[in-house]
Amino acid sequence: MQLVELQETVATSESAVYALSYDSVEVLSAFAEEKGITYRMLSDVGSIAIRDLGLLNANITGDQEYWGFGYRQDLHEGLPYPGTFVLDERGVIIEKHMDRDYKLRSSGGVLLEELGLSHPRSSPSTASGLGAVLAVWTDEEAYFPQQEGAIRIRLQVEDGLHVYVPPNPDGYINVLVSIDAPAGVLRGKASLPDGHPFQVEGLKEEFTVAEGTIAFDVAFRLVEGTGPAEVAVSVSYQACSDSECLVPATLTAAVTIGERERV
Amino acid sequence: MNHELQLQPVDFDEVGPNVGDRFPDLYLPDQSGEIIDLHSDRAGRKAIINVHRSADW
Repeated sequence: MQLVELQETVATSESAVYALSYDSVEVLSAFAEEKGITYRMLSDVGSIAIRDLGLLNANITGDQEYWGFGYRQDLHEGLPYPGTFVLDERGVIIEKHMDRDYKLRSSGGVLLEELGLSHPRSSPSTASGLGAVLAVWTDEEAYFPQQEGAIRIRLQVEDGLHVYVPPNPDGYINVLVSIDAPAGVLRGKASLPDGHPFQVEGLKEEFTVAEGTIAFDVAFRLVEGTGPAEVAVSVSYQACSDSECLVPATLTAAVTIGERERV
Repeated sequence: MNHELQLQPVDFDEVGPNVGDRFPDLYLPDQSGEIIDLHSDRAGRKAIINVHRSADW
């Protein structure tokens, strides 16, 4: 999904969408008409706002060399780092995502989740085990090569139980996520869930635990030609009540990440 | 690709405004040529601002 496909969901009475590039009004007008774009595309000819905002990619000649492409002043002069800002109602930035590579664009699903809006996504794949249920899905069913997507991993711990999350003393089994995927699925690290301190009566040591639904998100990109890619997500954990622990367990659920052809 | 080349590291906290900042005022024409004042156009709504390379290539 690209920005144009979600404009009707996002550009509502509650939220607005803007794009910013160095294109002229004429270029934007032709592009918007061709693609049916109704959100506002802002024209920053000469990259004056891009410079003022501090978004100019000053390393572009070195970057082009690194990627094995030439530098073209007509295209590359004034390029910003690509990125997305999410503003709250007061205009304060609540999310900022910047990319190193101007060739990348975030998926629409990632943007929608940043705004807290629901959207189509892949069906969750689930597995259940001792004291917990694992659900795994992606924010979209299919992605363009190099588009940033997200694998959503949720471990739902039964009421009355908790699991250990880092940091903890040696010997305690922290929740651990491992992902088995083809090499063409380039992944970020799993985000760590927030835990809170926990102490067992009579014990000196303090632990870090989490209850309820524990969320991990993993950003990824597909290398062209990788999809559909089978991705198996395993979560190891040990669920405990205040007085006793269940046997350590590992749950595995798999999702298929589809690849969209470039248009 | 020449593997001796390295991408210069970028600290994105130093690139553009950061979380917690008010997004700076923007006055730019949109695709219809109308000058848009970002914050008054938002009219109190949340917003996504997507910064990207040319729409044209």
